[in-house]
Amino acid sequence: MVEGNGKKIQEGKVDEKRRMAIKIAGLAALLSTIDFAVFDKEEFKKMLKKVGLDDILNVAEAREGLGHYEERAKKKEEELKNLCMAAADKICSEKGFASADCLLAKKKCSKITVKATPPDPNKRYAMALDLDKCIGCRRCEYACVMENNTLRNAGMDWIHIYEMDREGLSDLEGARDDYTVAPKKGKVYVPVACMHCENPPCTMVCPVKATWKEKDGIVVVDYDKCIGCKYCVVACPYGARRFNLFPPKLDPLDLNPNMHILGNIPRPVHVVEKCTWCVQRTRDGGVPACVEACPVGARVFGDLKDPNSPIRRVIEEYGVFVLKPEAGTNPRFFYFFSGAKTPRKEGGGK
Amino acid sequence: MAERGGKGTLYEAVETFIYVFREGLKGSRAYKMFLLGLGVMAAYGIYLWVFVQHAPIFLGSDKGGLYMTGVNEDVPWGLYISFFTLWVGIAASAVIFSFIGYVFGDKDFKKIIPFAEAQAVIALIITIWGIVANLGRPERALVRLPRFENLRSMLDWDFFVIMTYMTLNAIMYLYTVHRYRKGLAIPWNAIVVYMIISSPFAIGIHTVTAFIFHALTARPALNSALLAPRFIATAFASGPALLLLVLYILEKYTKEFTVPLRVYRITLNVIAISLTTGLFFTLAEAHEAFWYTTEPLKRHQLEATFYGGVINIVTFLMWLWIALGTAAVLLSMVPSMRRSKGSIAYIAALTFIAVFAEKTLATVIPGFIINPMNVPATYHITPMEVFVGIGIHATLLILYAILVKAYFYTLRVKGGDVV
Amino acid sequence: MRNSGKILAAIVLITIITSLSITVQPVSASSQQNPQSLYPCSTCHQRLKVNADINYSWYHGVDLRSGAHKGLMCSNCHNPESAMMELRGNISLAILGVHNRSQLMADNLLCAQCHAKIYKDYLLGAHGNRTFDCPNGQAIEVKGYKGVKWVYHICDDYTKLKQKPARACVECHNPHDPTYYAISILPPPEGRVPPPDESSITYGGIAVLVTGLVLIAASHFVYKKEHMG
Repeated sequence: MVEGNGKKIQEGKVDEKRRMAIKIAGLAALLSTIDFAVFDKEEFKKMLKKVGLDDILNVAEAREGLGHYEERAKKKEEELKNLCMAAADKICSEKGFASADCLLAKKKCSKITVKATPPDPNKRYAMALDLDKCIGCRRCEYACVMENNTLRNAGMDWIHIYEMDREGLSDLEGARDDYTVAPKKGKVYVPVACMHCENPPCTMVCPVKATWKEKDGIVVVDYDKCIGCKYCVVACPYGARRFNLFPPKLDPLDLNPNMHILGNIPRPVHVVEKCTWCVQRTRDGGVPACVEACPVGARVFGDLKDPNSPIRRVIEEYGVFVLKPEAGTNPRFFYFFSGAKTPRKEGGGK
Repeated sequence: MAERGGKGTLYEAVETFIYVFREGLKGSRAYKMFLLGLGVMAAYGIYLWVFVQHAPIFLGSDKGGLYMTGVNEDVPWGLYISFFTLWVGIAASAVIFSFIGYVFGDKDFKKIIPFAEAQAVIALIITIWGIVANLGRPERALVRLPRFENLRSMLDWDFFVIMTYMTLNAIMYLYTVHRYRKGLAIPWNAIVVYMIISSPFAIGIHTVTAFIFHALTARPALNSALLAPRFIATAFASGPALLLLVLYILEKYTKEFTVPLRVYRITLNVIAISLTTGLFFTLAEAHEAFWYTTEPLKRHQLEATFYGGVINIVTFLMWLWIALGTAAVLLSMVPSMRRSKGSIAYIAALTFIAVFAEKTLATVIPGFIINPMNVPATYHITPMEVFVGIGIHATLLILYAILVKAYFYTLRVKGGDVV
Repeated sequence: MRNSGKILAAIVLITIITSLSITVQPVSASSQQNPQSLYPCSTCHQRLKVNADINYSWYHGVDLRSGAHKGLMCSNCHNPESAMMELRGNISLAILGVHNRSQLMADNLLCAQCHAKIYKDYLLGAHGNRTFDCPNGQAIEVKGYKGVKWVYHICDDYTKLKQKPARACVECHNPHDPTYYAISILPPPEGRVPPPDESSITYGGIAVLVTGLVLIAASHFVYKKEHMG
């Protein structure tokens, strides 16, 4: 070996080789510096984590790693509390520390909770909507924006309400969502949000498994995994998914204090979000905000596996149908006609 | 391995790599001005992408974001994804030249195969860049996409085949340059291995790209099993057309380099046949939509595409494709047009513009033109998208120029006869 | 006819009082200024019995000659002996605007006498809204999206929520005219914010494009010059 090296030095070949090696090393060093400057260290650490064969082959529903989410939820909670407290301090220094505004702001901040409630496998949520009752007033849409910390005035509303001809309901003829007068005669108002399909095309197409169907039937998005390719937006037959085109600009004091890590935490820029049936409320026994806000009681939410649930009552008493059955997605959002019609007049209102 | 004189394979690869860039950047004043012109556009495009459009990601700033492009929830995929569909087809066509050159053993074609390989490489980089520019979170994708977490997603498969085909072509290009530089011919077994792997992947990149779109019931205009064949047909028209244009320009600006007329003619035949097939597929789709289909959304989407009124640029591009495509097919049958390289290059240019019109917005947008809830969508191409797109193309044209120049230099100086 | 003067005076007085009581909101009824305590219904109805055969009362503003309850008589629901006693179980009826929600819930049974199916729907949560309680909870009303009011549930613990019906029957349906009329609709939400002014990008881009193209064109002429001249 030594001899061989000696020979090469004499031949003058090693110099060239070494120069080349130094060049490569320099290039590699430069690239790795850029790498470290550009990329998130946490992400990089995750990348270094070993990827088992299971991770690659497990193409069914994503596993719900509970501890993992709880950890993240705690972290997020702290972060949001700090943000909120900073905003509250600003108000306090302006209006005095004993002022009502200051106290309310501080109280709100202290109540901020980010949960990671796991799904209950014995439940299967579903929602139904009475098209005879719905008057298209958009109160569910507005409630949803507030409850879910959606960006205001950015076209991000999760619920869209489409006005359709009563006879054109099956092929969505004449649908529009920018009506200003309702309820009109001969029209039906169809609120559309995520249908939480049994066979969701959106989760099938996600290249990084950032969205999946949980065991209780709710389709969720992990905002920290989403790469923002918008493939799921393309795949959704109901146009229910929204993409955060804007950097988040929400006042931390406007936040809904009840949050879920897979639900209504403020979303980062450039990720996909959608209706989660208010996972922060429903998993803990509450009802979604749209169900609570509906002024005509058109929305019904419940557990399909519970024989005494509202949703079972609706299915047995009135019968239900779904939108776009030809898409084959088997939605868990049903529509029905109860027969008790809210009066529709030309010009709307009483 | 033994014939490389004891040096490592990696060492040789790096040496060839450096050689390519050294020789590719050398050149006359005119060549450098040409590169500078492209460089200015490239720099502006990259600046816009990194510092304005994706500033919230790369710089963490509050300004900027994808809202500066024309995409919205109704049209989530816009101009960038259009480039993806166009260039993935151009990349696929490298296999045509490899087939005629390596498998059928045509000497004239064998000489221009590295041009096709270089074209495939840059086309695939544009493709990937097009996806990345449209991605919300490129930094996450960089970490997560190579893991292939969801093998049911066609995007993962597409990433896999594109990456493989790009690597394969890059290696083959470098290997060819390396061999010719040493005055050696390419060994038969290398060609066999390359052909066996690359042929399915060449079809694969484009097929899988079509599979991304075609299985979506949400977008009936794209939900057609004809999409993949349609993609392949126009791909085999646009790729050779672009290569013919490059060869023609190369011949014009260099004295020593000549390509025989028969190469032009054979390629023109390929173009004409592919174009005819592509036009036929467009007719077949239109027939299905306007004659029979009872699916309202499909009908509405194709009506909006062909008759206009919603996103008019799509209608314009659709008819431009039909008009120019037909013109190119008809012209290619005129005997006098087949006699000179100039007129064949003219037909190639027509073909490229026609396929550009069809494969960009006129392929992608019809699926979004009426949204799934039957509401017409809006989409405006913004200056941001246009200039970032120009920047991406300019960057890769520089790379293309470098690769072409390096191979050309090798051919001229070292091993013009080995092929 | 005997005490017409007295009755007239009483009517005027009651009219004033009831018109005041109308302004009281059902939610904010803190029962401190309960109009019933000022002038209880029984003051009149101790002596005035309900006429079993009428379906129209000008004084109460009740007209059963039209509307969804057309055909009913006052005595179908009100006990003729004591008007504000419920017919069914002799429970005192609660009045919207006077009594609180839990008291109003007692009225539901009266409605259930006829509307058994809807009442079952209601019990199971398929008719009317549902809301929830949380331990030590409180509902804060805030000005929400676009100034529309919105109620936050402020709880100590968000993990133990209890569902309950949001409203009693009479909160949505006026018992004397039970049709639920449509209420006002809210304006369509703003669509996507238009993209910012990109004119600087356009001008910069055009400048760059022109520079680049000029350079490329110039390279052609430089080439021509080198090789011709």
